[in-house]
Amino acid sequence: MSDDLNMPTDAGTHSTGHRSLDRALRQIIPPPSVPPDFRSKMMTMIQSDVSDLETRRCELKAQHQREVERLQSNYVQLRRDSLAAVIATTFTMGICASLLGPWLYDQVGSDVSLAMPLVAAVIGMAAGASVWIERFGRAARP
Amino acid sequence: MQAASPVRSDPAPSDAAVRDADIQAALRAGQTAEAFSALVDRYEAKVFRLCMAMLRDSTLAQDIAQDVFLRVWRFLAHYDARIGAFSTWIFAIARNQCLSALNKPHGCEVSLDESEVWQQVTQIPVPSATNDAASLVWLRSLVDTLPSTYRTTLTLYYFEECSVAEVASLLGVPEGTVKIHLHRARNMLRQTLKQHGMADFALWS
Repeated sequence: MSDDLNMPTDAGTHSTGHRSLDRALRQIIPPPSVPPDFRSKMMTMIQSDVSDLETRRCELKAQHQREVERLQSNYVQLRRDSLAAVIATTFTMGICASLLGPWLYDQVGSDVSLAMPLVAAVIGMAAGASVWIERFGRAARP
Repeated sequence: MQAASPVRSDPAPSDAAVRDADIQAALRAGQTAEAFSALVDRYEAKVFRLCMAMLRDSTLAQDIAQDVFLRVWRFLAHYDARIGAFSTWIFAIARNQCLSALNKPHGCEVSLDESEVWQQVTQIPVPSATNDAASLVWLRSLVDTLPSTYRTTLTLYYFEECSVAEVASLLGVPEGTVKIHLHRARNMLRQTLKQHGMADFALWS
């Protein structure tokens, strides 16, 4: 059994001394036995860990649900806001057109059919440009 | 003209992989609890002994060994056989947990360099040559003052019923390294015994 203990150079020189020291070492280093409550303690730890995981999973699920509901509500709100903006813009443009129409007709005469869309296009481009300027400004800010 | 190259085949599974094939099969069948139970049956003693050899404290070793199996339980379902045998994986977790425990500020291990070790050894009272029990206690003290690598290897060697292969597997080192460490540990012990006039090994019989 001390074959493993000795280096190859020791082969064949298994003196009584080697064996005696080996025996003494074996005597002072006995293999420890696993404590009897090792398994039960471990299973308790694992069960506690599993219940912790279960609790965390429930918490995360609830948090996920809340996030989904919040996003859904934001999405619905956005759609409502967009619809309201489109309706408001349409009515405003209609009112503007009905008010400005006669004045424009006085100014440009029969070319009013060309002037009206041009004015609408200029207003639209100005609105678009203001939005983009605001976006670039926001992006440039640290 | 070149000779036809031999057909490449998958490497043969290791002994450990063959031994744990039943656990692998249980895992593949989705029976994680059964696989874990089999793993604990097979490795709890070894893991505990490894922790004892590295930490030299029964309570701490028990805590760390339990923590090792808790980690094994957590990750068992995601275990990938391609990374190695179960034993390699579990022993690596155990070694890392032990090293983490030793590196904590109030760990039980006191790291000494070799000069300090030998200084400590020379301060141990030498027993009378005729008193066997005292001699064994003294020898135990000598083992405790060996550098930690040699001490752990030597301790595991006797824990594992003198199997170099088992010690190598537990420590994750080649068998040759284990043999060298055992040889050096034994030489250090022998030198100290000689220095104190205890070289007569008949004393230890």
